[in-house]
Amino acid sequence: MDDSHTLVLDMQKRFLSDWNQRISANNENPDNDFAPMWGAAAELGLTMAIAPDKHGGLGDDGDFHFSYFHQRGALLACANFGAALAGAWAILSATNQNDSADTLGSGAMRPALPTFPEEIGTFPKKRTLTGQETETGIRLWGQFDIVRAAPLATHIFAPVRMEDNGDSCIVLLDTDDAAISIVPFTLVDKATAGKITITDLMLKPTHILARGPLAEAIWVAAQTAMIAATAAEATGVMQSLLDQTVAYVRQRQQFGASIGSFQSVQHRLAEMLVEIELTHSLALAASRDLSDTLLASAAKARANDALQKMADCAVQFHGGIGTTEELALSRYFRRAMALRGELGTTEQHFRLIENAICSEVQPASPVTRSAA
Amino acid sequence: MTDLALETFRNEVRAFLDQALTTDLRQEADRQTGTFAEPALAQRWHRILYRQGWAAPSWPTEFGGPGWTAQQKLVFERECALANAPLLPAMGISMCGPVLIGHGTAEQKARFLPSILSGEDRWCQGYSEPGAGSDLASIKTRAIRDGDEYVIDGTKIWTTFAHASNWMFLLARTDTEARPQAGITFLLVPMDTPGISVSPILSMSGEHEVNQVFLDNVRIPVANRVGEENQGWTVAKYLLEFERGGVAATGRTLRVVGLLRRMAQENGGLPPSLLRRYAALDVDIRATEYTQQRMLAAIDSGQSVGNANASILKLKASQLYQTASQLFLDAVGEWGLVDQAAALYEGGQVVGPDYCVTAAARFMNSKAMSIFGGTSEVQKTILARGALGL
Ligand SMILES: Cc1cc2nc3c(=O)[nH]c(=O)nc-3n(C[C@H](O)[C@H](O)[C@H](O)COP(=O)(O)OP(=O)(O)OC[C@H]3O[C@@H](n4cnc5c(N)ncnc54)[C@H](O)[C@@H]3O)c2cc1C
Repeated sequence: MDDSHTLVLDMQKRFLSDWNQRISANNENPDNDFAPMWGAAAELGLTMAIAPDKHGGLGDDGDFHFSYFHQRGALLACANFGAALAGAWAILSATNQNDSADTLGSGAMRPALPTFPEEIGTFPKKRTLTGQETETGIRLWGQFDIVRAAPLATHIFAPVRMEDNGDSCIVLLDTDDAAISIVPFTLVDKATAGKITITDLMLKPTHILARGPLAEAIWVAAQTAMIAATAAEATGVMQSLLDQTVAYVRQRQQFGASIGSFQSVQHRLAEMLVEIELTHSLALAASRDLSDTLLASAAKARANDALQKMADCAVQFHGGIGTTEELALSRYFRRAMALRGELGTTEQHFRLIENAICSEVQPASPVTRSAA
Repeated sequence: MTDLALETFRNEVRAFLDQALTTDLRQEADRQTGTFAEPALAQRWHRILYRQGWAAPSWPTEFGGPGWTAQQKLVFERECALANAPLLPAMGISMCGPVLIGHGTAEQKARFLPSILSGEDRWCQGYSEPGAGSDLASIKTRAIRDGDEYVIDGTKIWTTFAHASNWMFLLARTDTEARPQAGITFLLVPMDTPGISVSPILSMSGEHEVNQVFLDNVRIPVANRVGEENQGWTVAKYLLEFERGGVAATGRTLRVVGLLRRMAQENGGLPPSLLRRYAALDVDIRATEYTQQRMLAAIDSGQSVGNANASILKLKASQLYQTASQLFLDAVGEWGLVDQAAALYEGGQVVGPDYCVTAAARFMNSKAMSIFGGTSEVQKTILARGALGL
C-alpha cells in the first residue's frame, strides 16, 4: 500500500465514524438514510476506491482490499455497506461493462447480489432465475428468497439458467423495472433485505453480461471476492469486539479489582488475540490472491468460527449488560451472526476443502470405503 | 422406586401432558425465546399444574408438593421439556418456596407458600445490583431498622419479570461495619409498596424480561424478614444452590432439541455435519442427565444438591443450552439470518417457514445462561475451591 491507499482509508475511517455517531445519537437504523449515505461515500471516492485499477480504483492491491473491508467491519456504520460492492466490481470489470462501471463508481448504482450459502463455490445449480430466448432479448422469471439490501438497491446482478439449452448467464437488472417486486424484511443485523420476485421481465440483450462457461467463471470469481471481503470484514468485527471487551474488563470492578486482573479472563482474551491474528493472516492472504477460491474458503471457515468465539466471549465478559441492546456490543454481536451465515457457513466451506483434499489423496478409480 | 413403577409414572405424566397441553398452549410455547415462558403464558400453565397438584414437584407434601422421589421429579421435568410445556419462572416455586420451607417461620410459610403454589403471587429476585454481580456480597442496597419496619434504599438490576411480579425477595445490607457477607439480610417486599419503581431493560433480541428496580425509602414490616438480621447470606446461598442445581439441567436444552427434531422431520432430515453435532450433543445430554440422577439419588427429596454439584449442573446446563441453540440456528440455515422480531412481538408474518421463527432470538438469549444465576467463571471458581480445594 502507498500514500493513496492510506489516504482513502483515513477518509473512510472518518466517514464511517461520523455516520456511527449520527446513528448512535439518534438510535436510528442506517438503512433509513441508505441512499444519501451511499451517495456521500461515493462523493468521497469510496465506491470507486475498491474498483480494479483499470477502472481507476485501487482495488487490485490485496492489502488495500483487506483493509478497506476490515475497516467496515471494525467501524460497522452500516451492515449493508459491504461485500456486494466487491462482487459488482468483479463482474463489471471481467465483462468490460465500462458504462455500468462508471455508474457504479459514481455512486449512482447501488448493487445487490444474491448469494446462496448452500451453493457456494459454483454457479448456482438450483437457485437461478429462468430465462427464455425471445426475438427481442430474454424473458425472465423466478425468485430469490433473501437478498441483502435488495429494497435499497438500484441494480441487481443475478444468475440465470436458460430454459432451452441450460446455459448459464449473468444479467444486470434495474430495480425500477415493473416486473420486479421486492418484499422487504430485516436481517438479524437489523439491515434491510428483500425477497425478490420476477414475473415475465423482458430483458434487452445488452443487459446480459456474460453467458456460458465464462458467466460461470465470472460468477465464481465475484463470489470469491465477496467471500474474501467478508472474511476481512469479520476480522474487523472481531478486532472491535476484542477492543471493546478489553476496555470493559479494564474498567469494570468486582471483588475489589478490575475483572481484567483475573487470570481466567486474561487467558481467554489472550486466546482470542491468537484467534484474531490467525484469521487476519488468512483473510489478508485471501484478499491478496482473489483467484484462489480454496484460500478464500479457508479464510471464511476460520473467520466464521473465530467470530462466534469472540462474540460469545465479548458478551460473557460484559456480564448482564452484554446481553442487552444498551451497548454498541449488541450491534456487533448481531453483525457477527449475519456474517457467519452469509457467503457460506463453516460446514459449506469445509466441504469445498474436503473435496479438494479428496481429489488429491484418493486413487483415480473410485474405491468404496469399508465401514470399518 | 422400581423401574416398572417409574415407567408407569412416566406414562401417567405423558397422558396428562397430552391432554393438558392444548394446541394453543403448545403453539404459544413454541414461540417462546426467553429465559422463562412469558408471564401470561406461564400463569396459564401454572394454574393447570396447580389443579393437577403438580405445581411444586420439589416441595414436601405438607406444603402441597406431590411427594415424588428425585427420579420422579426428573422424569416429570424431562417429559415437560420433551412436550415443550411452557417453562415456568423459577423465582416463586423453585427459589422463594424452598427458602421459606427451609428458613421461614411458621407464619411466613402459612402466609406465603399457598399463594406461591397456586401462582396467585408472582415473585422476582432482587439480588444483583449495578455494582454487585459476581461479587454479590458487595451489595449496597441498605435496609435500616426503624421500629417494626425496615426502610430500604438502593437499586437492583437484571430483575427478571419485576414488571410482572407482585412480590420481590431481596438482599439488603443491614450492617456496614461487618465483613461484607456478615451484614446482609433477606427480605420480602410487596412490589406495590410506595417508593418502588421498575424500569425495563431490553435484551439484545428485543424481549422485555429484565428490569432495573429502584427502591426509595421503601418501608416493610420486620415480619417480612427471612432468617435472622445479618444472616441473609446463608439464606441467599441456600437459594442459589436451588437456582443452579434444583431443576432438570437439561430442561431448556431438550426443548430446543424438540424443535430441531420437528424441523428435521418436516425437512427430510439433517445434513451429515449437523447430524454429527446433534449426536455429540445427545451424548452430552445423557451424560448430564445421568450425572444429575446420580447426585439426586444421594440426597433426600426437598434438599438442594450441594454447592459444588449445583455448580457442575449449572455449568453443563448453560453449555448444553448454548450448544443446542447454536445447532438449531445453524440447522435453520439462511432463515436464521432473518430478524423475526415483527413476527414474535408484533403479530407480523414469519419470514420463511414457521419453524425458523425463534432460532435467532433464542440463540441470542442463550448467551445469557452462562451469566445469570452466577456466571460460568464463578461456577468454575466454586468448583476449583470447593471441590478441588485449590
Ligand atoms: C437474562 C438475565 C436474567 C437475570 N435475572 C436476574 C434476577 O432475576 N435477579 C437477580 O438478582 N439477578 C439476575 N441476573 C443477574 C446475574 O445474576 C448477573 O448478571 C451475574 O451474576 C453477573 O453479574 P454482572 O452482570 O454484574 O457481571 P460481572 O460480575 O461484572 O461479570 C463480568 C464478567 O467478569 C467475570 N468475572 C467476574 N468476577 C470474576 C472472577 N473473580 N474471576 C473470573 N471472572 C470473573 C464474570 O464471569 C463475567 O464474565 C440476571 C442476568 C441476566 C443476564
